Amino acid sequence: MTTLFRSVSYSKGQMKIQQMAFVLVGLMIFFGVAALFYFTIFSSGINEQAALLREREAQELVKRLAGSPEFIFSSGSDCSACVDFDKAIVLKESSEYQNFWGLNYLMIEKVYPSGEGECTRSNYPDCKTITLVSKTGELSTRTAFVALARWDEGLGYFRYELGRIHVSV
Amino acid sequence: MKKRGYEFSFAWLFSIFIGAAVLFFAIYFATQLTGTKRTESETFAGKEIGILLNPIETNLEEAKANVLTVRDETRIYNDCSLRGSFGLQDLSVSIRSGIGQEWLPSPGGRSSFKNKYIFSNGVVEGNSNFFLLSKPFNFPFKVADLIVLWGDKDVFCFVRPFDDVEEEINSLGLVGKGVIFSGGVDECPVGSKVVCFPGASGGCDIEIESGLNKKIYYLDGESEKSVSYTESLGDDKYALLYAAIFSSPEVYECQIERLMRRTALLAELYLDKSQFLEPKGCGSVLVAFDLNRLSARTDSVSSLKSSLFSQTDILDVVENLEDKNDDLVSQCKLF
Repeated sequence: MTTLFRSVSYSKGQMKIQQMAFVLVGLMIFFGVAALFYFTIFSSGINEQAALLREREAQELVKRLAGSPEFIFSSGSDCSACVDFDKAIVLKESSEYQNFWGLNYLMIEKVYPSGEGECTRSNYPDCKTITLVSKTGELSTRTAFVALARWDEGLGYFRYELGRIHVSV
Repeated sequence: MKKRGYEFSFAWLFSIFIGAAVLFFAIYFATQLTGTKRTESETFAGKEIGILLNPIETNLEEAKANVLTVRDETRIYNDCSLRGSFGLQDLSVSIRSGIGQEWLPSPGGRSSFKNKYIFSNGVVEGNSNFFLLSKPFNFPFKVADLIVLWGDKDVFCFVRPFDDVEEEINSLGLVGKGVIFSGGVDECPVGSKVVCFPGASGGCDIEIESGLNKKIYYLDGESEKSVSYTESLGDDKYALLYAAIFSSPEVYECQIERLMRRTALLAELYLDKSQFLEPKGCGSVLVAFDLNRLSARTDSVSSLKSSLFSQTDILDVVENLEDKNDDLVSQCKLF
């Protein structure tokens, strides 16, 4: 009888400890899942903010790119939104400027009069686009209208044409 | 006799111990997360400031001034590095907090830019405003926009400034925005940085020497330091002067080296353009020759920094280049 009573008391205590252990394990799993949810939402918030900053950077940059010394046209008349198309074709061959603006894509397009194909020294200026930084992947692009200024041999002066700058950050 | 008492069992002990542990970890992770959130917002602010500097850059204007307003007391860290072909402009930000530590031990993440040149002290502090002055640097073609930055905690007292400088500061509306003019050192408010132009002396923190040898002496540090500057060609002369006044000598020298690297590459670009257009009746061999000299000279001066402005040969090349380019009236100018 005494032996029986002793074994009942012993198993009651063990039961309580085991209950506590299961409660703790449950608590840890609960906190773990809650933390997982929190960090998922937290990091997606950071991703959104980073994407927003990239968009704004591209927007501001595209507005100011025509004023950059590598593109600015200062040979002829004062023209704040003019891009030197002759400099651009030469710049295309420079490897130093590939990562200069921190862009994933930079392209200058001649809108009017329109041309065909990518510009090279052989088909310039009867071409359409000068790609300075090639696109990698699906990227959203910001554009701005500019005037493209270039030397016209026949005219003996500068010719101004309508163009667009495309950038992606 | 029955003895009444309470059995402090193992279960109670265990519960108290686990409860205390859970509370401790909860508070610990909450404080860690607060720190992470602060770093995140400081990094965001640093990148935003870099983006906001884009509209400040000039196009064909001579100068632009602007005010950057912040909500809380902020520190902007200006790090200039010479890594790569163009060097790097690193910006990071620290925002003062009323909870916990006032300032985090290290600022938020760095935002790096290759195409920005910010002249300021290494750390610029502002209660609510930062003042920006953007000037184009021509050597002789436009090389970059110099962005001069100072906070509302800094006051610069210009003693007997040049007429041009006074006129420009007035027209940009910067008087009272960290810049004041005075006729003598004694008139400068206590705590302000006294900038003495030629003709003023005694009690100066910064002394300007013009004439043939253009130098700026920093007298407020532990040891006297000096940097050289040159007057930009064209209507706007004092871009480097402002840059040197408002920045520390270390930042100034680093940015000058970055500017010279860009000058070398731009000279090569104009040289290529000249060679490309010459068969089409545009460009000049003489201009091309000087462009070659300029490119070679600015490419090799990395160890000389601003002292290159004391060397007449490079200034002669720049001046010759501008004159020859201006002479191309009937043909097209290169820049």
